[in-house]
Amino acid sequence: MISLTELQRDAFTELLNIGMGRAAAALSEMVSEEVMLSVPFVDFMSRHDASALIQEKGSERIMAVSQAFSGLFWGDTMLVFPETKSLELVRSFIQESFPLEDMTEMEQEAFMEIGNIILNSCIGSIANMLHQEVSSSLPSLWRGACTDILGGQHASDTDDVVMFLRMDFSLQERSIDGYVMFIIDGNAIAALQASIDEFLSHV
Amino acid sequence: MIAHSSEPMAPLLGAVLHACEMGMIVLDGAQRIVLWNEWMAKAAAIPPAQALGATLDELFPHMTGTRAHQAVQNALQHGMAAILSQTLHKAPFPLYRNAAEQQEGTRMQQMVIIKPIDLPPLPRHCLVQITDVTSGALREQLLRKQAQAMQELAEECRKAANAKSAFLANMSHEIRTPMNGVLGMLSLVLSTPLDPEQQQYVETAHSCGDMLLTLLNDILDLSKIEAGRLVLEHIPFDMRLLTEDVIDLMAERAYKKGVELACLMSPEVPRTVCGDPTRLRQILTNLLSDAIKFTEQGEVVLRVTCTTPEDNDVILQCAVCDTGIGMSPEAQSHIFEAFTQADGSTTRKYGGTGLGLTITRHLVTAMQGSLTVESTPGQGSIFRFTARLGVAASPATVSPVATSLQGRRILVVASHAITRQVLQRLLATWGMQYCGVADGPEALHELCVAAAAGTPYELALCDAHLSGGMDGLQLAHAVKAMPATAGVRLILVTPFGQRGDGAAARAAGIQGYLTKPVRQSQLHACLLTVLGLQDAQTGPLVTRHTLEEARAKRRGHILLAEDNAVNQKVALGMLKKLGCHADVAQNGHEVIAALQRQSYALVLMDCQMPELDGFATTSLVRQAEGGERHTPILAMTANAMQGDRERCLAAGMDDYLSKPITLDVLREALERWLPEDPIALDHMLANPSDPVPAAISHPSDLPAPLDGAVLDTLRELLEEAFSETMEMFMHDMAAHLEEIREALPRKDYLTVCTIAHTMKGSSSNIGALHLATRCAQLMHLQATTPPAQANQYCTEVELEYARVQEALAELCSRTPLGVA
Repeated sequence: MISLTELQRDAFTELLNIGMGRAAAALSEMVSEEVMLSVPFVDFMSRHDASALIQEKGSERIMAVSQAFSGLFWGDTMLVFPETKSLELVRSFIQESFPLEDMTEMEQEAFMEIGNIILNSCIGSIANMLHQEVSSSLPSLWRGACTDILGGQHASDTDDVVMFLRMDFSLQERSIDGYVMFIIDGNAIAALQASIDEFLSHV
Repeated sequence: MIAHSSEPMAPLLGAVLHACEMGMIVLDGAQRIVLWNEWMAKAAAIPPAQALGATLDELFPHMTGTRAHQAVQNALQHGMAAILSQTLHKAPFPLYRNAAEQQEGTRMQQMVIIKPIDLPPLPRHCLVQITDVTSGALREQLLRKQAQAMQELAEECRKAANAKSAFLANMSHEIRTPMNGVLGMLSLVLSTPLDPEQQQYVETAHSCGDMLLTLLNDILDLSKIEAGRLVLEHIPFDMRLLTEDVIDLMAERAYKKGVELACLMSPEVPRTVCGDPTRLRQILTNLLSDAIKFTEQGEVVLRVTCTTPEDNDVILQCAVCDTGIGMSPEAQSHIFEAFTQADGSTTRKYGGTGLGLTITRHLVTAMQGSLTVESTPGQGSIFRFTARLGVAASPATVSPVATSLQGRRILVVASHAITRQVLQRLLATWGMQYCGVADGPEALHELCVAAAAGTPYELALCDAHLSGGMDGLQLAHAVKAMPATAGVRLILVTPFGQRGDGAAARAAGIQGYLTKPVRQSQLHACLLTVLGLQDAQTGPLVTRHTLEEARAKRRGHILLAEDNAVNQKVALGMLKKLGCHADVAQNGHEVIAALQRQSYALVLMDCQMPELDGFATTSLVRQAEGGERHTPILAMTANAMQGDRERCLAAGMDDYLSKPITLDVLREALERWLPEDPIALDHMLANPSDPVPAAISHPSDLPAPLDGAVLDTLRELLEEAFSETMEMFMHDMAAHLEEIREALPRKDYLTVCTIAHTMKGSSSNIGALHLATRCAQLMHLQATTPPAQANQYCTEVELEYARVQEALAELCSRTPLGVA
């Protein structure tokens, strides 16, 4: 398990915020409204703990955009919002109200794109930070119970390390809490650790 | 993984790419186009020859700086995939579905996917895949329009429903006001002397009016419920009293059909519960009235049990069991639907609208319960329902446990097992030693056995109608006739007391007289009295009527605020019947003026009055009171929608009565809100029509000076003239006595006889039966009668008259007779 000191956590947070800023800029341009993204919180934990943390906030059902990433270390990135909030987010983004309670197909695609932009930005930041080449796949959409999607039930999953970010998404005076996770495959932890150590030595 | 150098594959792959029904562009590391498939060529109207080797910027100069462009760079430089959704970028590339649209300039709606292609040792390439999603986008637009239309339609429906409800509320007021008049007037007519033909006609009219009102209420109720406007109250109430009330209400109906009606409540049912008593009463009334309606003989029993309370909640379980005509399984499945009865013929035979059960089911559902039926045609039915109620934290007025009744032996004689069961439950609560028998002979046997064993019964409670050849009265006579059992005190229980039965009962030596359904409190009071455990101004006979009449006797000035002339008449008539004096105000201003002039015990306030309505008036009144004296104000309103009660209470009123107001409702309300009579009510035993002022010290074998039954009849007949009549009687009696006193020494026995005859007549007329007997003695004076004897008779008359006089005086002073 990777653990950070207060100082180290701050360093991570700041760098991720910069990355988020870029995503926010891209999103703002798309929607011609000010979109603000911030990362108030970063930590390393297990899948199980990450899932528990999300559910603590009362979001048992979630919608997630996930992208696989690869390079020196590999795994999945995930952008998670509570199910009800994702609808709110998409619709305020598109600036259209749809008198339906489910996300339409087109809205789902938009949600995926928003996730794609944010996740690519985060991945880009990490890659920069750790001086590594990291590439990512196309996003896919998940909807369901938190425990099912985040897993943590399989034995193989218990080795995975999650870099957990809490993210604030603000648009038009609306503020929605989401989460971003880097779920790093257990076999890649060592490589990740080395990179992080390298980075921290310069902090 | 397809080997890129596989020769036979390459042309095939090429062909496949060009056959794909989506756009494929592949860019090399320098962002030059190395693949441009047929689809792209057609959609962009740019042939491959032109495209290959060019950069996207060169082909599409306007796209520089766009997200598509950035994403391509990102893919090539960092290996990041991207998606451009149609929603956020309608048409990033200038592509067209056909020539016509190209002419118009209508771009194809696109979804773009950008992926890095890594194939070492080749440098990174980038794939741009474009999909035509125009039809999908159009479909969604259509979907949105429909959804919006739906929403608007729903909104219109909501408005229409609200309008309908408002209309109903208004109409209900319009309809109820004249209904109030009709029913009220008919009630009043029925309480006047009528010949049998008139009685029948008016009764029919009244029952039609009743049915109409029920129907109206049902319809309004159902529409309210179906509009989802049903809101249940959550207030504490006494479960026992509620069921007793309901049984009371149904008793006459059951009695008329010869059907036994009883309620068995298990002791675990909490006394005080929280819920909606009005609606619960409605459910019970509905089920019981149906049960009685469809039962020709046998019994209807309400059984109430409950589950163990948990979390301040208890589930009430009620079952209405009857021995009626029953229903076929088919019928059972339909009955809860509106407007259906068991089968068409039942409507014709039994009447009714078929709405009752539908409403009942809704109410039960609202109470989180369920309503079920079991039935066997020809044998009977059981309607069961459950309801979730709260358990009140502190009990409402708990009746004191009769420690004085503890351990006393009581024999219950009743032919119906259910009656014995009900009474046994009650008597057990008070710790009495109970034994039950089914008929007279058994009772006598039991009493004798007990007496012989040295553990005699103190009390016997007998049903008036018994099987086994001996009825209650006869049994009483028999009991009193035997020395061994003569000491047993007797209470007679009948379905409906008829005035005058009291006399027969008294003659048989019965000391207490109750009518079914017997309320717990009534039985309790009666037992205590008969056993001599209460401080009693004893009349020898304690009846349900006396207990209730005391309650009905009210002093106190009431102010009636009602502008509608008909409603005024009705209300005044009823108040008079209840022995209350009322003043009338036509509107709010008059109310305030009247209250300034004098204080009233209570105000009956119509909510809808001209100029100043009930609510405004009440506010003003309360303001003027300032918090010192508080005159109870009862609202009379024809609106019975949710929120009206709250409105009334919020305005400062104390209670509200729903029009049309019945005599019973009014009586109950007055009982609740008027200050009490000085005579204690719960244990009220003095029969005001049989007052025995200093009777306690009198030998108990002297009968009461005035007969209650006779007096009551007189009062009804004479009304205001009653007092006057009594005064006349006393005046005459005084004169007659003087004449006799004067005639006696002269031995003018003829005169004495004549006068005595007159006196006897008028005495018995006003119910002074014993006085009449005494007067009769003076009619048989003869020449041979010793003067001392004659004087003695005269003295006896005088003494008895003195008692009568005292009694009359008390009676007249206590009875408010609506004298203006």
